[in-house]
Amino acid sequence: MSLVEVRNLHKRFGTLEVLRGVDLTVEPGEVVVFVGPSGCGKSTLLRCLCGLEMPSEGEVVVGGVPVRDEPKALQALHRRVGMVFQRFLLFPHLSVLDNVTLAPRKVLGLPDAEAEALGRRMLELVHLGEKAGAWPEQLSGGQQQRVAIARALAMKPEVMLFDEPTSALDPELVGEVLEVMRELAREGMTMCVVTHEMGFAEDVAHRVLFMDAGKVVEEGAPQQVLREPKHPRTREFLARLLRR
Amino acid sequence: MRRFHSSCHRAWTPGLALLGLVWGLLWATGCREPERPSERGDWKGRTLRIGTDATYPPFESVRDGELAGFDIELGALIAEELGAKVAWTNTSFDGVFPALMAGKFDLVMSAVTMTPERQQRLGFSDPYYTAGQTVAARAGDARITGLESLRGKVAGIQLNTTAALVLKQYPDVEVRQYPSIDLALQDLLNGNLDGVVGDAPTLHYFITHGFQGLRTTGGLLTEEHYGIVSKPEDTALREAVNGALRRLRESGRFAALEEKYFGEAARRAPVEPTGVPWGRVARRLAQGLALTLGLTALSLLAGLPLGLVVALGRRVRMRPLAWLCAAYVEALRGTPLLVQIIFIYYALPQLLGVDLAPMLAAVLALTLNSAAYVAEIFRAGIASVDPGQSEAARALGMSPAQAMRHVILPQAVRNVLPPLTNEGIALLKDSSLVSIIGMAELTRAGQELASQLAAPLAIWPAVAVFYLLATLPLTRLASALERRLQRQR
Repeated sequence: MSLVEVRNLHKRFGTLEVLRGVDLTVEPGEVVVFVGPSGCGKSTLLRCLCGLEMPSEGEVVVGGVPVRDEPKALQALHRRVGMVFQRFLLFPHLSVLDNVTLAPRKVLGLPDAEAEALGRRMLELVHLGEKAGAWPEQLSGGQQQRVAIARALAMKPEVMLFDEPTSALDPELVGEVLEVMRELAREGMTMCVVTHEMGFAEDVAHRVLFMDAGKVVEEGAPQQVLREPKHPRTREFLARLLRR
Repeated sequence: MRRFHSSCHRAWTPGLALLGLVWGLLWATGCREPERPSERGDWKGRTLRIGTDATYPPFESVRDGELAGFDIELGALIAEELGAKVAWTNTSFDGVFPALMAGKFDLVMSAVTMTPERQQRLGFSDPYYTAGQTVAARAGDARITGLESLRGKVAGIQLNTTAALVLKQYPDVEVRQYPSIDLALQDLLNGNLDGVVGDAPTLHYFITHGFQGLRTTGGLLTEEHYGIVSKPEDTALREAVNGALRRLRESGRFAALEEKYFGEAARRAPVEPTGVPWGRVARRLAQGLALTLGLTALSLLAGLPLGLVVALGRRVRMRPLAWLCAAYVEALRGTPLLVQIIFIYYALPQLLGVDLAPMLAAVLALTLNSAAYVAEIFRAGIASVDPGQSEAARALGMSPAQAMRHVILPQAVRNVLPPLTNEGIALLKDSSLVSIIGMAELTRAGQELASQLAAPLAIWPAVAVFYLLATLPLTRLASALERRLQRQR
């Protein structure tokens, strides 16, 4: 069975319909990259996958469990799905290590020592073991985003969602974050990534989806979608991206 | 004579409307007092509870921490005649009649002038003292010889006293009103007034004790009577008091007391200008400050969690609860604290049949009031935290409560420290309002000292210093805490 199944997903905010019928399946171990112009609904899709938004219509099923607006079900979903935000959203009042261990301690009920060991392992994974005692504001943007990744990984999610994880970074800091994500993909992590990093998409993605106006317009292997797009909207978008 | 119209000789005008309201309320609900011995007229072995405002020498003041004065000694004599013990409550004049009506004590002895208006609402004993007004002037100012000589000049009086009625007949005298008579005398001494019209024995007392540069012109302008006040329906007690007064007059003990306070000897007795006894003043103010600090600390300690609960209550999904919390904040923020204090202490006993000790009522009122402000501070603090923080917490599987407790609140607390400090300081100063229910906190201690020592100019700056002694460390503490939290992030 697919890890993520989305059927005829619509999402409306008032009269604005952001998603207009999206179908999607993600298999375990698969890396799916979403591209498309801003406002096309790719971030909203990700937020629906992790339960931060509820479908207006249609169905989202993760690990066989449908997403419902019910506190216990939502919390169960949140534990299966890890989310990395564009703006990192580290907890500024906690040290780097505490950022990573807070949810394992409070949500999973891990004892402090165990949680700390886990936290340090996760920080090693993103090459920030030596920053465990630092405060978020003392880190560069790239380091903060890597801590955010470690924080999400500490909950042992079945799928990781990345919502434009490098868009808020200075160009020279983008590489270190993408490198961590590459390693994750190599380990076999299931990932859904919204990004404008076409190089990353080509190298890492198993599948690329091009979205426009709330729909998936074109999907396929990265080389096919990015090098030989069939749909005129995809061509137009990629042409504009390359001119930049 | 002071205290003619009503109780607003203090500067707390907003409380007045409510006092009227509470009074009417007490009237309407009737007094559901359990039967007290007074209704049987037999006081043997009982305790006679008497209220007074001890800022009015020589009738009542606080001397060396004890109540002293003509009324105080007379009250003791009356209790002795009735075979009763006596228990005094020293409270502000604004609160003394509502407390009587609420059954907090049995009598009021506080140089209360009998007026037709008051006689309709209160029960008066036979008059026990005949007083009148006179004019005070600067010792070296020979122009002022009495009321006539004030024509075309400026006279000071105490707010809402019968002096106003006297001066109404002299429209060419410019009248300035003062919250208390000692401040009027101070302004006379400073040269801003030509005379002060007031109660003769009290003017005499102040002039001999602290305003040696002034003199009285002699000659009473009015004749007024003081009476002992009880509840109108308490006729048995009133008759017992009148009987005791009669017996005291017959035995000559009343005359002896009058002689002690108002006789020739008392008037002629040279009063040593002693200056301000600073040691005693400091001790008294320190006691007042301790009570102020205690009240503030207790109320903040209880008000912080309550305010937090109310702030969180406004965010819950259950609409009625959120609405209730919002209504609580609006009600307590939208009405004066003084009104709340009066309501809790005087009206609650009548409405619910619960009797609150003054200390409890004071802490309760201050707590409920500050909780409303604290709730708003926390609400703003929570709203100022990036909403993304809550999303990040939820995306990690935290429940809304966990996200609030571990992620949002710790950040909100940093934001609210400065406004919370402000609230603490405001509460510390606002706690002076509980003097209306007889709490001898710092401001009340200052009032008592200023009138007793006839030295407002020395006492009020000292009171200010004592307040600063409390508030300065508080602000220091808060900014140190703020710096520490800043460093931690």
